Amino acid sequence: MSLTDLMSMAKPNLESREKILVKLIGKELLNCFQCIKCTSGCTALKLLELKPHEIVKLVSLGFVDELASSDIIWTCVTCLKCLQRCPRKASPYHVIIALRNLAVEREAKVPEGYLKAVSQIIETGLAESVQKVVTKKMETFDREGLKLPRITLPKESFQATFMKVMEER
Amino acid sequence: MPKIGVYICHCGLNIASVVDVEKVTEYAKHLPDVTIARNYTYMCSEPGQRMIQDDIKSHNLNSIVIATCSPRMHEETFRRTVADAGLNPYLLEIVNLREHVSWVHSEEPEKATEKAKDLVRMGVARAKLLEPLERTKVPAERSVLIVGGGIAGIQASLDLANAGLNVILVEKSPSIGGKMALLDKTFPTLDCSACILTPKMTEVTRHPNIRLITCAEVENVTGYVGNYEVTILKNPRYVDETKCTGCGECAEVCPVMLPNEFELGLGTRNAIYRPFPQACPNVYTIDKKGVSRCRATCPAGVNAQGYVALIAEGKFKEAYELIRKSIPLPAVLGRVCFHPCENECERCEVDEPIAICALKRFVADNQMKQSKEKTGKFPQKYRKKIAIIGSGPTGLTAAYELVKLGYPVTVFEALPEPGGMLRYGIPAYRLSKDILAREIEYLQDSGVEIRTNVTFGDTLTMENLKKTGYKAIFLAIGAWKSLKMGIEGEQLQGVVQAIDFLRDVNLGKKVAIGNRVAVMGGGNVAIDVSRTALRLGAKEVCVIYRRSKEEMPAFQPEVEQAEKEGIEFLFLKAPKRIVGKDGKVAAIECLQISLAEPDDTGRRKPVPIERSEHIIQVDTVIPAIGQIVDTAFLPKEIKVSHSTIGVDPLTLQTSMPQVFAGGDAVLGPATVVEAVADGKRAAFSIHQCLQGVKLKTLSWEELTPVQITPKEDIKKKKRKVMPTLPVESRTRSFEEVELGFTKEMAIEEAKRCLACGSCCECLECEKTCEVEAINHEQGFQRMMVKVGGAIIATGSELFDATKIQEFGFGKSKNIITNLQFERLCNASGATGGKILCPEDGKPPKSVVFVQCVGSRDKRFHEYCCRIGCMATLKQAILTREKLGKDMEIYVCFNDMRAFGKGYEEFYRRAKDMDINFVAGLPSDIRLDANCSLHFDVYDKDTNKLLELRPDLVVLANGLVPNSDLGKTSTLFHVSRSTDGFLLEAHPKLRPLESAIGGIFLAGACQGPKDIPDTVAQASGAAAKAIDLLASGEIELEPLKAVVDEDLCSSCRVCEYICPFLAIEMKAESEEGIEKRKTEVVEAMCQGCGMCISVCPTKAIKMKHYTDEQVIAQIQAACVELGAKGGSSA
Repeated sequence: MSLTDLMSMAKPNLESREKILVKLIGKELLNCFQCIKCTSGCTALKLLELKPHEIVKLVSLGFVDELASSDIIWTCVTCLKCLQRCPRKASPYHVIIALRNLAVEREAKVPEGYLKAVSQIIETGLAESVQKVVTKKMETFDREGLKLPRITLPKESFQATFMKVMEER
Repeated sequence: MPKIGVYICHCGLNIASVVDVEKVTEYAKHLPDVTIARNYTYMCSEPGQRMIQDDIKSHNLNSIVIATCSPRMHEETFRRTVADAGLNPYLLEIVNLREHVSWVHSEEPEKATEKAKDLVRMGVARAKLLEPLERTKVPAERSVLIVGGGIAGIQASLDLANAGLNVILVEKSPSIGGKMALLDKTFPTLDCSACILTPKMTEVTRHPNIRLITCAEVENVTGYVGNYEVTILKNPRYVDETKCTGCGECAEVCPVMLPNEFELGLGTRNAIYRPFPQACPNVYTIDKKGVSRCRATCPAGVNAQGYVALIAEGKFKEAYELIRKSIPLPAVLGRVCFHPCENECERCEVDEPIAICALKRFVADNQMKQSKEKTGKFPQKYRKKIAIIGSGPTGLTAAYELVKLGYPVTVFEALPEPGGMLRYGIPAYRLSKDILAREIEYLQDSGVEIRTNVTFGDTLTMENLKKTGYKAIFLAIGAWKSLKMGIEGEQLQGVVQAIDFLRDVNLGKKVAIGNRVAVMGGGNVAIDVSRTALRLGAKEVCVIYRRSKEEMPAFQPEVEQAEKEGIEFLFLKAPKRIVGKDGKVAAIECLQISLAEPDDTGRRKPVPIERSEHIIQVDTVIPAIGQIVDTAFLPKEIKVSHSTIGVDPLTLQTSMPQVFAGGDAVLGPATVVEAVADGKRAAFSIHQCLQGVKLKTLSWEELTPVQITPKEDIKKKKRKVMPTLPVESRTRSFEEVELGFTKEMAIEEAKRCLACGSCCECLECEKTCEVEAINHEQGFQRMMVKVGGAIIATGSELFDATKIQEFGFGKSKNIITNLQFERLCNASGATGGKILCPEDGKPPKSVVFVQCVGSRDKRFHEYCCRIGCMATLKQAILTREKLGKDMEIYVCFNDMRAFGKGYEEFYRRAKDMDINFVAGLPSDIRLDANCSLHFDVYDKDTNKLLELRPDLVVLANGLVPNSDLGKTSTLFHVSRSTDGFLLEAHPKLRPLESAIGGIFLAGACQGPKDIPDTVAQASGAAAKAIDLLASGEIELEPLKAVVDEDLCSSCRVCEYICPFLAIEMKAESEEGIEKRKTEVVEAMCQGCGMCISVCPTKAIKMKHYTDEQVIAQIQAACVELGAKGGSSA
């Protein structure tokens, strides 16, 4: 391969690229023309610097290994805006999920925060734990103070059903 | 003896890189009857062609096979080659080795070579059987139809007309000019669109060779190249184009304001309008969507939308006159009409209906106040006298209509004053006697003679009426007999019949009323009686009705007023008997009622509950359960059925000739407006009968209401309510309860009207037009024209940005399209050329242009719109020029495409003008709670996420095929490409033609285009049409069907199947026997072969594609297959 990333001296890995393409069933979802709509609207861009258009281009070029071992692919919150609004009917979301699956296959380290969120879902059914909120005037509120109904924990059968669904997938 | 030459083309490497051309040539040499076989790099080149010509001459070849590209590409070229060498051009067979072999089998060169051999062998087999054919010439019309009057149609028309051809230019809208007429400046030179377009538009209208037909569409196309017959449907513009001078005085008096489609929602126009000041032809057009529902519903055909529109403009006198055209009693109907129009009002879907009735009352009252002068008598045109019996609303209306027509009319009234139920039935608190008297006075002034205190049946009889010379008698005697309840105690003192009660009160008689009054019934009479009783001093009044409030037939607003005044309503009760004491009413015994399920008529039947009897203490009982006609005094000859007079439903004639009847006497108790309508009907019927004209339905009864339109954008506004007398002061007096609108209230209320019929037909324009150009009755016009060919130049439409939800188009008026921006910039636009935010009318301080909206987007249109980038650059430059250096201008783009002549320089110019380019598109455009716009966009040049808060967002909408392009495509048999636009015959070599002979394409109907490209294509298409038609005759391909007369059985199947109507059956008489002969009209036959496949006797043959030729090819394919044992595909 004649291509080299001179910033990191990385070379594309066409085998890894092929693995992603297999997961995506073809190149359709990589069909990006870099209009940037996805990144302009990305929920995870402002705080976590996820740039969907960059990920799609890197996968296209074959720089897959770096992405599969990076933390950035775990920041996507799967809001699907990029998928819905893409004028090329491409899907950065599907590319990111394919990269995550490749990472898990390679037993790469999954960021702690992500694992925490997953275990929290299994335990409480919620992606975020219920927190107290502090306003600009430094007043603290919790759900009770705001007269919001209490959140109940899921039924006992939830965990088993959840795991079963996960395995089936 | 066939001597065949076979030539294999390499087509550069197109064929030779896959097919082994040497092997194929070698193979061809050994095929039977092949004299010579060669190959060459470019057969179509001059040396290639010369090689073939030389061989024909030196080897005496009599048939040629060329294995090369598709015949669509070069068959014509090679035919000329062959012909130039002296051989008939149809002794040529093309074998397609490029599209059919090398391009599709590039992975398998060996098999491809085998296939090439097979195809060459098949070609040779057919070539042996080819026959020489001669082309025929047919005369052609030297005229061209141009469809669409945008810049493409205009340019093509002028080029053709200047070349001496006749042009028929058909344009759908009222003016030519198309999209270009909407633009402000044009890129890349920034010259004013109008300045370069208007002279051309004017030239079109003046050119002697151009016939311009606007407001018209092509309806049908038949015929063939050189001889098309086109049907054009011209929609009415309701203005005579030959008379209108475009002075615009009509628009000044037009009371209807509508959104102007040429301003794309940014401006308004009148119902009579000219789309823009430079319109060509300079003629006004009336926009009629249909008849408004209020008008179509009115039984008397009153033009409600018309007078409401005039009131909104403060034209009260004109409004009054418009009402008077349809009814004689506007002030009366303005008070007592139950206005079915308001139930139908389209505004009901937004908030509440327009107060149509109250507005009518306002104009009528206003007119009475304003003018004291008396109206003159209508001139008498006829001598036949007409007698009308009864002076109620029906009688008076009929009398007025007949006087208007010119008849002497006498109305006979039994009671001391005229007015019938209006005077003696309707209480004065609803209709003041003064108002009624003045309306009747008006009728008398206009020539109606009224004789009161004359009872029909006494001194006045049919015989003496006829004897005294009355030629027609109209019975409008009403329904004055009250129905009895048929219960015990009805003869007691204190039981009063409703109609007698109301009449006595209105006669001014002293009517004694008890303290506790029970009124029986749930109709309007019951309400009138109860409220009258209250005013006469009754302490307690109750209305007893056997069903519930929902079923009550009385007019709801009246019921509400009655409730306010303190009248008690007792529902679900029926009287059983009236209890008497000393011969007087003491109480009424009632039964409780329950309602059964609705029956067939949809009404719920009341069922008395057993043992639910109870006593209500009352001293007066007034049954108001219905009235019937008193038929006792009618002559026996008049048929009476179901207590009403029987009449012919169309003519209103009774069983006695020359005697008509109408109103309550025929309909049973009806509303005032129904009575008025019946009077009108009777008047026209009597007129037609006396003049011996055949009767037909009346014009106002045939009106079909306008289609309902969406109303999402209409702002809610409360309906005005007439002030009323305070309850305390009204219950003891007969003063009118409703007080009428003030001028201001009336105007404000009238302005709520949605003008759903567009033009309201108030006819103000007709009054003002000095040249009498206006014709509201104008109809559709169909014309047939003969043309040699047509240029389709129907243009394109703008992409509908509401489809891209994330961009919020439609949610804020400050998100506009690029075409709307043109109107904001344009000096003739709604803002006079000032760029202002549509939401608040202020100039923007910042603007963002967003590119590629709806184009380059697989969800909508995959193609590039080809105008977006350049239009945006132009608009950004104009913004900078108009709003100065402090204006912030951003362009969010994906790729900037500046490919045309001078375009890149234009891009540079924009960059030099401090316009900021952001390399990236926003994901969405959002609105704050206070409606200000904001969005984020990631700039890939700087790797920064930018937040923009512009005052104005301009979307670069792309161009899309016209929504009715499918119709155009079907009409002209022109196919469409996958992008939806019309398909050209060849993308490179024949871009101006369709695949159909004589049909050319120009402008954006073929694909999105800017003005320079459009004009170029239009001129090109015109040149093509000139090339085809200038000589006045056309050469036709000889590939036609021919009928073998001996085999033909005249079954006519071919005639039915032929899509080009090319088969005719000619009757011929042979030795006295009629015989039909099948003939193919050569000029119309397209050689499609449909007739051949259906002919049961195989009597039809296709020249150049005979069965023998085709079968020989198939056999050649199969023979070799057998020889090879099926090894080759």
